[in-house]
Amino acid sequence: MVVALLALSVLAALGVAMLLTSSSDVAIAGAFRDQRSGIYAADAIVARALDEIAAADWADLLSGAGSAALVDGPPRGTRTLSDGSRIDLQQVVNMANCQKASACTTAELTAVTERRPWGTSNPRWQLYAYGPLRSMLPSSVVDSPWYVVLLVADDPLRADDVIALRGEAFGPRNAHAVTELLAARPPAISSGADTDYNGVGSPGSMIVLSWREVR
Amino acid sequence: MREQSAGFSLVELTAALALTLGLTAAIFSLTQSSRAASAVQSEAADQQQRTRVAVDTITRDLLMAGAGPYLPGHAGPLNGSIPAVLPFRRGTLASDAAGTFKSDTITVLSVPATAAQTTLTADLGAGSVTMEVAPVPTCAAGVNLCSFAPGMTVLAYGSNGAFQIFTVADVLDGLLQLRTSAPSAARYPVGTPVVEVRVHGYALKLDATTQSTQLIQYDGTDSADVPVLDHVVGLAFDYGVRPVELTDGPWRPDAASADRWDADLLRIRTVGVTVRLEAALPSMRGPAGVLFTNGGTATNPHAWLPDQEIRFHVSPRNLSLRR
Repeated sequence: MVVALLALSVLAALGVAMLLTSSSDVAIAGAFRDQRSGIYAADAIVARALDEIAAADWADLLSGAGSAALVDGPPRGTRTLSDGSRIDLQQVVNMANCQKASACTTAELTAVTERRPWGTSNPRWQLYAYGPLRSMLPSSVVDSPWYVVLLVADDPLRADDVIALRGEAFGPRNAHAVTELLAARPPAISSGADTDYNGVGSPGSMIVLSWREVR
Repeated sequence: MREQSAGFSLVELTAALALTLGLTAAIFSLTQSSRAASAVQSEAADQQQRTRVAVDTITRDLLMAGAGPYLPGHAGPLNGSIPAVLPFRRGTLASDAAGTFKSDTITVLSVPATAAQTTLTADLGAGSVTMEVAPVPTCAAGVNLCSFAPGMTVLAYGSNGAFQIFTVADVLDGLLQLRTSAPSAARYPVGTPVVEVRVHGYALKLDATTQSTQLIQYDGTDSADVPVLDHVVGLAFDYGVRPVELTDGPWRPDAASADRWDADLLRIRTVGVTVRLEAALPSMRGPAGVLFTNGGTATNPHAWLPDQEIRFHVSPRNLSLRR
């Protein structure tokens, strides 16, 4: 009797240990998957908006005029994510501009930091597009749980034909991914010039100068 | 009449003991396999986690390979001038010889989000350690070379394909000079961009402690290689281009250059990565063979945890930016 109880206890303890190990491994794998897929979601909103940005007046865009199509309401307030958690759009902008949730001061906006090393030329991010990714994709393609935000700002050199873009994706279990790009309008193309993928881009399109993942 | 006292005979006692022992042994043999499975489970979780770290680390660096500066006239990905993905080791220390191709070694270059971007204002001659450079355009008034600092890794690259990774030894702001810790190996003309760079290299190295190989990372400088993961027994990269095409020319900047590279490196658009990890404990590795690169001491197949091999592809975003 004692031996049987002992054996049962040992087996039960082993079973519980295995269950804990496998369930935590499943959770870790889920978080890993979310982190990786977040990059693609952040990339998706940038890719989705590029053509619209190419056709927009950048002066308007940098003064805060958002997208007409790629938004899910006014550019303020909170949004509920697919897992029930919430984000505040203004806090997203503040975090991008000065790494804190409350409003940024001028000194904070121009502070030289590792992430924002340009001082007075630091980007002043503005909301451009925001909404559930699923509402921006053809409905039958994928039911994405991501909420995506696209911010725009002037480039560090304040060049007329270059713009900075920042795609952010917010997902389940606090998953958050950020990409930053510099994009430019292509130079004028002479008739007959090479406009394929090795060329200089077609009129009205955008050239992405650099792409970086932000962590 | 006295009753005979109750008790067991020796035969009964022996039989009972034998029965109990047999039962106990049977139960413990059952738990033994469960214990082995439990131990393997724990090690398998560790192996999975190490795999995730390998995938995440390599993917992150490859994704950003080729990110370039925003300098006027030089804005855009690095592979407009030089290769950002190199199938060999390149840096200030222990660089591989020109024309080398190693399937288990990679060096990745990218310019981070940095203000440390300038251009040469005078030719940088071969053997020189002093760069005359232009003021950084985003510096505050009164400062010329903000963002540059001693110890920083910078890249100079010319339109002819010559490039070199330097470590900044000193920043002479008033003189608009950057002193480097090693001399230039080639001549770089006026206008050559000089920008902060991230160099990430990966390779395998034998670990004397475990007698296994570990994944190491090098940063292109004189710093020692940094171990990333233990018990990585396989690492291979492929580039969608036949290896022979990456070592047969045409050469940039020219065939006589000691730092020449095959122009076909500019064709790389995707990198296939294969990583193989083994169980850290020899007691969970069986005999060397298909399942185990390095043999272990396990004889019970229930306690085996075979090597795990994962293969994935990464398309560096900056190498395919023309949309």
